Amino acid sequence: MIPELRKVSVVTEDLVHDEDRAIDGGWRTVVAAAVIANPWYGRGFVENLSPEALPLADSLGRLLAEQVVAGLGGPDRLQAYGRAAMVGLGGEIEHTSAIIHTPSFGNAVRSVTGSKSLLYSTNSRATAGTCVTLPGTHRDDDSLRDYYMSFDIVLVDAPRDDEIVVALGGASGPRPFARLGNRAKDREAMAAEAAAGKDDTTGERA
Amino acid sequence: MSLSVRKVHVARELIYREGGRSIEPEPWRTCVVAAVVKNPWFGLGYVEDLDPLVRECAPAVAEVIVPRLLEELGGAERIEAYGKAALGGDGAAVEHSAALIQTLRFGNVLRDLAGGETYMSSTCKRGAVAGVLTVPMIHKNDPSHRGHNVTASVVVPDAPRGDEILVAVAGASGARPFFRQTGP
Repeated sequence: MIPELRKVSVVTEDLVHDEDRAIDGGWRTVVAAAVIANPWYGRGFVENLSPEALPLADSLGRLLAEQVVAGLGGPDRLQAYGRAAMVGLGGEIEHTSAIIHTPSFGNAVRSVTGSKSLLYSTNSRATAGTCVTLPGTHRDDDSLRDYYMSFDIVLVDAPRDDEIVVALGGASGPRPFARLGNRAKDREAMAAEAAAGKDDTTGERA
Repeated sequence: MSLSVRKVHVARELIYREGGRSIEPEPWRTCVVAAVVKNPWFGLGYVEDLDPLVRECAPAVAEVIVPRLLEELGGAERIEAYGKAALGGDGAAVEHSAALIQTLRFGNVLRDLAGGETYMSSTCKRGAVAGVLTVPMIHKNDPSHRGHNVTASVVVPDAPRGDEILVAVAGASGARPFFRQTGP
């Protein structure tokens, strides 16, 4: 048990219909959020955050990854993921970074998911009831455009001033109806346009 | 017209501490399962007889969300308190939200599957996208259990749109942690 932990909130969404059409098999997203007491609250400026941050990073990374994987139905069902941390008004943004921007957090997550990619993230400070947004990418290859996505979670009573919300999100597949091509196709089209004398790559006529 | 579900939103909480104390031996669990459905009366103006679409849509939406609630909380025996709520989008009459959850066609699905006998407490309202949906709960067999008067809230950031209704059921694993209200 993590002594600082107040609660764990897990939100699962099954999107079955969007853009006026059914999604074959549905699209599942899971966001798990832990609400912890901010270990640096009320202590003024703390130079070295590591003693408290590293054990929390490891235990929270593991806890949240287990929740997300369970919600998706197994590690192989996790195809995209991302993270975020939001501190209450009595804390510093650096407190959120200290916990999630460490290899301890990412490695703990990857030890559960078996994935390879770095986790994209947001770090913010806000009142309770603010939407926490997590940027997502593919689990193994963060160049895959179809897997750039976002997860949202709102906790109506967190973070309090002396708390931090740490969240991990996952998805069962690419964005539904993803149809924006890829980098290679963009380059090909832009090269063809340049060759035809209408270079639009800067948004202005060449 | 049949029921059209856009998505199912499940918010489960495990609460380990309250009022500065640790909750032993197990965390307190609450869960809200909400379906984002198309308002079947959207754009029809004032409809006098809601019953035909209630018969069609109310049990259908209950069949989507109630089994999921049981699954998330670990079965009927793990649910001690329950409740329901609906939040209509801008284009909904409050009566539309009420129609989907206030009849036996909806309520009996939850009562039967959760093994409850009492009526259910509820909220029905209209709100903007990302409005807070609040579900009041009472003990499933005895509404006089004051400790089981508990509340769960959920926010779905992209619902309900103007033509949608958020329909929810909720359950809790037990009384409020450290319930100590006394007196009449």
